[in-house]
Amino acid sequence: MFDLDQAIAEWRRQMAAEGLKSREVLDELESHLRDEIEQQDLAGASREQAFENAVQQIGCAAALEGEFAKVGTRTSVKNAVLALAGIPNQYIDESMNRSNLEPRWATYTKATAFLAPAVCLWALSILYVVPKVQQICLEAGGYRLPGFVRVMIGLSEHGVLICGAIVLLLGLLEWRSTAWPRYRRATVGVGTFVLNSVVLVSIFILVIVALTYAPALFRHGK
Amino acid sequence: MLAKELVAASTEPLILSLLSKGESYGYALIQEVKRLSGDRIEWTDGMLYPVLHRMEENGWIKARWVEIENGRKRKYYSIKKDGHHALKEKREQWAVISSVFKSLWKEQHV
Repeated sequence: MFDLDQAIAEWRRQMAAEGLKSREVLDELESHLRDEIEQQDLAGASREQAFENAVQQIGCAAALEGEFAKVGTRTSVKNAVLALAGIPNQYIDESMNRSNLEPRWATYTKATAFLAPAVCLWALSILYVVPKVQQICLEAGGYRLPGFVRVMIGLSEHGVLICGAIVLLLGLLEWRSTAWPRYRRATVGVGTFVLNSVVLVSIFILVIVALTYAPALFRHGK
Repeated sequence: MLAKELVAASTEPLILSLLSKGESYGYALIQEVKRLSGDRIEWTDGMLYPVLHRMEENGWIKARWVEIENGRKRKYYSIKKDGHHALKEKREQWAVISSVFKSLWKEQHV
C-alpha cells in the first residue's frame, strides 16, 4: 500500500542529500507537492501516480539548488556594496537595457558634485593643516606622519597629473568602449565613494596625530 | 508555448501583478498564470520559488506561513511598497513595447 507521508519524507531526504538543505525551502516545496497531488487526486489519478508526476514536475535538487544559490549571500553582499556606493540593485539588473541607463552628463555631474567637498577639504588640508601637523610632530620629538598620510600627500603633489590621467582614461573609454556605458555609473560611483572615504580617513588620521602629539609639545614647552 | 526568454523576462512583472490583487502562494500563482494564458505560459514548478525568494530579498514582496486544514502549512506571499514601485516601472516598460507593436502591426494591416 502506498504511503504518501512516507514517500514525501523519503523525497525530502533525497533532496537534502542532493544539496537542497534549507528546511524552509523544503517545507515550501513539500506544500507545493501536496497541492499538486491533491489536484491530480481530484482529476482521478492514483495517489502513487500523482506523487510521481508531482515530483517530476518540481524538478531535481541540483537544478533547484543552482537557482536558489543565486539568491544567496553573494548577491546580497554585492548589493550592499553597491548600495553604499549609491547604486540601487535594479540598475544592475536592468543594465543590459540601454534605455534605462542614466545619461552621461548626469553620472559625471553627480560624481563631480559628490567629490567637490572632499577635494576642496583635502586641498585646504594640504595647504594649511598638513604643515601645522608636520610641525607639531617635529617639535614633539621628531616624529613622522603615518605612512598612509605621507602617501596621500605624495599623491597630492602630482594631483594635476593624476586628474589629467583620469580624465584622459574616461575620455578614451567614452570614445572607444562600447561596453563602458553599461558600467559607467557603477564605476564612477564606486570611484567617487572610494575617493571620499580616503579623504575622510586621511583627515581623521591628521586629527588623531595632532591630538596625540600636542600634549608632548606642551611638555617640551615646559 | 512562449519563448523561454520571454517567459523569463515576464515572470517578475506577472508575479507582482498577481500579488497586487491579493496575497497568494506558489502553487496558486502557477495555476493562475496557466489559466490566464490559456495554458500557454507554464512555469517550471520548482523554478518559481527561487524567483519568489529573490523578490523577497529585493524587498518587493513578503512571506508568511499560514496553517491550513489538518496541520498543513502554506507560505503566502504579499506585495510590499517597493514591489508596487517596481511593478509600476515594469508596467511602463511593457506598455512601451506593447504600444510599439500595436502601432507597427496596425500600419501593416491597413
